[in-house]
Amino acid sequence: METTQPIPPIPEPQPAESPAPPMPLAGKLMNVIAAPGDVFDEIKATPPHVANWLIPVLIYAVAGVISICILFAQPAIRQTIHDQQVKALDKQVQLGKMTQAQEDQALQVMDKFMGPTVLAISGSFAMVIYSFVSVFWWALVLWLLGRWFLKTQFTYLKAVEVAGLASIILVLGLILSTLLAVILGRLYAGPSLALLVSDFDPARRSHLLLGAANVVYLWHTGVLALGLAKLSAAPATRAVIVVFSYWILAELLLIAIGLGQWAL
Amino acid sequence: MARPKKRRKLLIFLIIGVVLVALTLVAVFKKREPVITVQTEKVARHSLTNLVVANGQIQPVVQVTISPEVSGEIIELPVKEGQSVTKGDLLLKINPDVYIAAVNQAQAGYESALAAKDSATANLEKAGADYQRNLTLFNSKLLSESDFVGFKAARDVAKAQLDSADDQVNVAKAAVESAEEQLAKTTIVSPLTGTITSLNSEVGERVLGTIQNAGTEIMTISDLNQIEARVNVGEMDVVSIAPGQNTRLEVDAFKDRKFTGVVTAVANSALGTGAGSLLSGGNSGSGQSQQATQFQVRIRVNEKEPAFRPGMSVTAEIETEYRTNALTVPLASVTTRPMKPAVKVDPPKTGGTNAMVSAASGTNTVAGTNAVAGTNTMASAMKDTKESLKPTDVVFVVEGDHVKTVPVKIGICDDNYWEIADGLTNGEEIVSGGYRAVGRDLKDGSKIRVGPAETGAPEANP
Repeated sequence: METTQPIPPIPEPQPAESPAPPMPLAGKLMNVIAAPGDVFDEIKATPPHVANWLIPVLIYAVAGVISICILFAQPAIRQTIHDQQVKALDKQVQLGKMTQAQEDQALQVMDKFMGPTVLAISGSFAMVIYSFVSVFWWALVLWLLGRWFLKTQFTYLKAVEVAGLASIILVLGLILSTLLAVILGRLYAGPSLALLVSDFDPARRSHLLLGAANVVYLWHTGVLALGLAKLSAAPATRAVIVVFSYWILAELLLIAIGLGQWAL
Repeated sequence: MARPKKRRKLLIFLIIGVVLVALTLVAVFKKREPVITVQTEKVARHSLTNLVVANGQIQPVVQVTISPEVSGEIIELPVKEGQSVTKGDLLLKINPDVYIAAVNQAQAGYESALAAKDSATANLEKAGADYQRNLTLFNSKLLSESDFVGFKAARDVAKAQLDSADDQVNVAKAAVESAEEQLAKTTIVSPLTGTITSLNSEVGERVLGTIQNAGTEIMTISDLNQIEARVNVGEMDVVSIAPGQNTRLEVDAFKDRKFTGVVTAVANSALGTGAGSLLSGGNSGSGQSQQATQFQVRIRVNEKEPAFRPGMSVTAEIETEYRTNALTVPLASVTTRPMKPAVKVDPPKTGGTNAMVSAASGTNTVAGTNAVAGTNTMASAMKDTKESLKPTDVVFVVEGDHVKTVPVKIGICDDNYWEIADGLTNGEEIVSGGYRAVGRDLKDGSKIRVGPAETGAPEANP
């Protein structure tokens, strides 16, 4: 008598795993704060999309404009700016580049034509431009660092997306700095070691160095380094070293050539 | 795996949210006040010298204007401007012809008077002899009384005529002396040793004498060995100036030299008023002046400088008051603010009710007394408040990061410091700048930030 082996059931063809739904933009903007690695993984895997960098940059610009308007509405901040302008003119007089009469005239013109409203408008305009320029600049830096130091290639637009999304960190930093400036009544009141200095002077290099040690900037730089690591598929440690080295050198250079105020 | 990740995200957002909300609440509810940047100094002790600054001119102490007493034409002028002359030197001669004629005329009158006197003398002698002769006859009863009286009278008349002639001689003699004196005045010599600092006339000019009017000022002679500064001081400052006060002088022509002097005289009346003035009004104008009231002060210059010229401009700093080791603050620290007095309304005392009633309302109602008395007291207090809101000298004392307005009583000042007579203690930190902050922005309780001084070398970057 023949016995038949039961025919093993034919395994059902497993349906292909459906790809994870693309992260919505709002999700990317939120997750870049808490889980930036996931965001940049998706950026790397998906084609470039303008919204990925344009929306964060616009948010950064709007936040910057609001911050400037709030700061210039503070009497203490206006007084600080006025004192700085007077001090700069006094220095010109001391150096012999200007007479006292010219200084008095310049102060009158400043008081008349460069009041808080004018300064707020010009500052807002500058902030909008700076928002775009800084993102494109960081994108260029990431792209070049990837090519030169990590020996990898990725498109510039990818770098722009990374830099654009990372600017959300700077938005948080803007909000923090604005609140601290309002509370403390000081212009330079970001979450940095400059808070330890009661009379912050942007003309002093030592104070600028303390101001550069800003928690938000470090965080932003770290996020950029992670983005570079993801785009270039390089070890995160290497990317962090490369990006932070650039950041430190850039800060020191700006402070050395007298543009340290732009680094704050 | 996804769950811990989700929890981590939530935790991060929660932390960020809490921090932002907390900061926002603090920012919204925090009292905002402008922070004013100031500079500070400590109240310290210094010696002060109060100075009154006045401008004027260098003038010689002794300065004589030569004007002739007689009128005439200058025929000789052997001196020139800038020449040194000694006392007694010939200065000028005026044409003496008229005066010589006057002398001759007077002399002739004198001689005529003498002749008249001689005649009167002879007449007296004759009348006297006739009197004597007829007296003998009268005594011998050989002459009538009436005839005798005639001879007596003739003698008396002759005597009177002699007396008159004698007086005429004196008059004529005085006329001669006067004419001679007028003649002598046509020659003018220097009354002092000095330098001719101005010469206003030339040979041939006709000059007027001081007998008729003010006289022509021919020249001025000054003793340049003794120089003084004549400065004009305003009426507010002149009360603090007295003879004997030391002075620092700066002559415009000698910018690199400092001179010293002593106040020797202070005018009693203002320039231009003239009456009762201590000093001759060389600078007095005519009529009433619209300019500020000023008084002339004379300051003797201690140093001898041959190059001094009368009329040189000079600035004097008269040291009027001194304070040694006085409590002082920088000049810029003191400003004025309207100060509100601490109004204290005392409640009316029940024990003194009747007295207050009679003084205030005159009512005898006990119930209404306290209200009326209280109302009157409050009304007078309110009236005092309005009247007391006067600008008061104040200084801003630093208390932590705020300032307190402290009224002070100031004394004298010099170029840098005010003396503080009352209101501050030694070592207190006070606001000394900036100018706008002290003069306008600072109020009682203002929040401040001590900024670096705006003058001096910039801080070196480390």
